[in-house]
Amino acid sequence: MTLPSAAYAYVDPGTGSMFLQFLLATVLGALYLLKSYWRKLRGWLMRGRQAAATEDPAPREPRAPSDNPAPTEWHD
Amino acid sequence: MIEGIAPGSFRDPSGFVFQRDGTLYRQINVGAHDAYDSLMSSGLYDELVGAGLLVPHVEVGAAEAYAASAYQVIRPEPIRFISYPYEWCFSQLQDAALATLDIVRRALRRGMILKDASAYNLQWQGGRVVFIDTLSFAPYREGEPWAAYRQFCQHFLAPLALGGYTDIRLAQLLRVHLDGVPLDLASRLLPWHSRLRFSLLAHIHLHARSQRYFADRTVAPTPRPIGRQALLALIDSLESAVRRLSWRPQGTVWAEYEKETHYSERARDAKADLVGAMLERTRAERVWDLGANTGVFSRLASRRGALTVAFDADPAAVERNYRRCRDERDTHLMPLLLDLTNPSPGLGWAHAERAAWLDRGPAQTVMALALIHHLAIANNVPLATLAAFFRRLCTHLIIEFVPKEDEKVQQLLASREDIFPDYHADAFEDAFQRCFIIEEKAPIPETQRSLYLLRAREPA
Repeated sequence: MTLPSAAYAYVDPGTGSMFLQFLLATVLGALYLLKSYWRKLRGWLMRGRQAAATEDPAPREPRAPSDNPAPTEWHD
Repeated sequence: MIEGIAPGSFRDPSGFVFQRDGTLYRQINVGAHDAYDSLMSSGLYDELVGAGLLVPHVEVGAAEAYAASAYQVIRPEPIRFISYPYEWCFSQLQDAALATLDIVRRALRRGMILKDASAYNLQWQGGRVVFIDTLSFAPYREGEPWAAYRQFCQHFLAPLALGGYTDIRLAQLLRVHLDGVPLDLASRLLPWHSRLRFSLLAHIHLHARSQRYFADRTVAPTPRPIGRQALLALIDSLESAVRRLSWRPQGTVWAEYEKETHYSERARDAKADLVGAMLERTRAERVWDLGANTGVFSRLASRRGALTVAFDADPAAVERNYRRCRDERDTHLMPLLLDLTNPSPGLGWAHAERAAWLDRGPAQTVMALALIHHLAIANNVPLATLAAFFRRLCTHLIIEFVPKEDEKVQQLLASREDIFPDYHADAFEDAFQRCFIIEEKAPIPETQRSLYLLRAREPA
């Protein structure tokens, strides 16, 4: 695994953290690639079916309601 | 703040922060000229300052250097009140985390990256979170991992996860662990079902495992790059992890205080009018509201244009206050978590890296409303001690005396022996008149409480 350039880094990145980051970045990067290919494919298919295709919005993960333990309410 | 190099500013060889003639400067050393030039010329500085994410600065020239090997000296816009992550409520820490990730993303787009992800790189200014460490930016080399990943997980993700999943009070671990909550500790304290969320499983639990595995091993690194796209995917994952964490401000001792109002409407309005008038008289620009709860009375000061810090010991109260500040885009009110009976001490190397709460004063006016009985009765602090303490904080003190006959004090005394023979209005006035002059005194109608406007006496 590559280490960050020594010239600027003074924070200890941690070997374990670097290892995990490499692992995660590879997995997530691959997933992201798959997601963007899938979106392209879908867009191509939809264009085939109808004249006006709506593009998917930004690639950020949407907030999944089931993940929140409870909705955050603001009481006054 | 003392003259010379800031006590906490010694870790980064790129430069340091120092004070001269009461003004704060940042020296950029020769070794970091590349990083600084890239920050300025790549457009990243302009973009971040324009977005209100980075503190703006003025270049004053290397001739103003404090020590040798200076490349440049800058004068950043001073932060009007310094606060620390262990004084922030859940949403403040969350917003600081999101700002950090936003900055990393913007930096990567311009060929730069943050070399550290410490929560101490952020402060609040005008109601918004802002990055203050201009020297944290380094040129990004394609293929390099993010050195600050560990720090981000410890400073932000771990305490937020502990607050959301286990107990909000665990955020105070940040006071003990100045480089963020150790991940093995967070992993142990988080409930089993936190592993069901992939981002927490990865960035906290597996991360802790990985740290433990490599703890005693030296690894010979084989060069394998992490692409920019993969890095951005990692940042996305961290952002998603942070956004999905939430905490409901309830279940704490003071969470429902405002609803259990024991003031009649007339009393409440009268108190607000009286406090407002007293604030007008002091015309303070820096106000501290102690025991501010959700900031109902703090806003009397902040709406008059005073920079107001609203301190309370209850995380739910501070959280509600902050959410309201955020919704209303309040530029003058800063809610913070503080236990007056155990305020933030000086922390870090030589007790000097993170300033004690008292060293960040004084304020001009301090408000101590519906507070004194908690200190004098619940915490047994003698009135004279209280007076001397307040004297250190301010020039003007707006304080509400809550007598023993008040129902709230009766509640405090319900389960204990009344060992407070000297807790009454006359003794209060005697004790405080040793350090203050009573400028004004007004009873609050339909209550037995009185408001006082006190002015500090000159030292003998």
